[in-house]
Amino acid sequence: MALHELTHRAQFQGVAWLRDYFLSLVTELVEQSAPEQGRLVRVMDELSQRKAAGRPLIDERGLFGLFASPEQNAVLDKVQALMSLLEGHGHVVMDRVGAEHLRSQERMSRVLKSRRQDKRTAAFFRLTGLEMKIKQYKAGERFVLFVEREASWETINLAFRGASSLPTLAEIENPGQWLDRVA
Amino acid sequence: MTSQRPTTGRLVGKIAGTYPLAETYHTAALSAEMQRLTLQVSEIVPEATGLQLPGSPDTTVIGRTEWIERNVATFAKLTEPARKRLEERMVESGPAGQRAASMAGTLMQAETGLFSASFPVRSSANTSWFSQRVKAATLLPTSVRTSCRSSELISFAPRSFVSGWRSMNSPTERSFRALPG
Repeated sequence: MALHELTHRAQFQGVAWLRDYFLSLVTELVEQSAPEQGRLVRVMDELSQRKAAGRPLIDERGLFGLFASPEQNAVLDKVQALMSLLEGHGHVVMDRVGAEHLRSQERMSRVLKSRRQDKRTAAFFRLTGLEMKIKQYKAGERFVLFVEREASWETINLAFRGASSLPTLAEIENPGQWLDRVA
Repeated sequence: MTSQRPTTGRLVGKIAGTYPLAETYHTAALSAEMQRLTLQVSEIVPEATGLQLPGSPDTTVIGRTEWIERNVATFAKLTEPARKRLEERMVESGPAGQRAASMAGTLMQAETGLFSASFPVRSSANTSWFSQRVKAATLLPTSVRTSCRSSELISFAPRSFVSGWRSMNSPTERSFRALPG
């Protein structure tokens, strides 16, 4: 827990521009929160499309994602990509350093995972959008491990050079694209 | 804005439940342990990440509900300037806009609350620049203090949340028709 959170602290205090960038995304997202005419119709359409396509009515973005406007969803993608990187980075550091220093690290990791798999917890996660956070952990972790394997551990810090070096959501899913662009 | 009404945090806290050993010897023990671990980890993280970790972080162990409240409060504080700008725009649009403005505040906080619930990390990371403190992971029984004091908590009644949410998504949307497009 301390490892994970202090890694976040290092990310936001050790990378000077990251705080302002994050705040700019948050501000952008909130400023787009103006009430939207016809939102209910749009949401009903979306629900119908999801049902017809056999997709879950509420996806991993939860209720917020369902009601967000297309503009908000575009900003949400940037937030999600950033969070995936930060969470993945924090998670890998926690697991790796934890394995060196903590005898109970494996048990802690196992308990956390089993809690997330509980049915009632899973439903709550989906409704609130917490499921997206869990996916952020996983996608971000995959991204960080791929970059380390294909390049080096130090290469991950290239993402912290500036906002344009951050991986996009598509690049989080396909880390090779990010390596081609940035490394 | 301080309120005696139930806050979002308390509401979500009820859903999250209470850690069985909250407010017992275990919390005190965990608090002492976290202080020690935080100092220890402060030396490890820069080495492991190659990133600087300035200052000397400290930690305070708190319960689930307080953690959620602090998350919401921190996020509301972050978004306060944007909320004010949105309200100003609505008020400028005329009487109907003025009526909508108060609702907008509620909606903003409602969305903030949902966003906050959706992105626990937003506070885990952003609180660190408000203070030299850190917080703990979402799923653990207790967590470390975030930055906002209880006097800074922004709250709204559950009823306001429901009515605000319904209004935002109501087919009539009468209150919002006067808004600039």
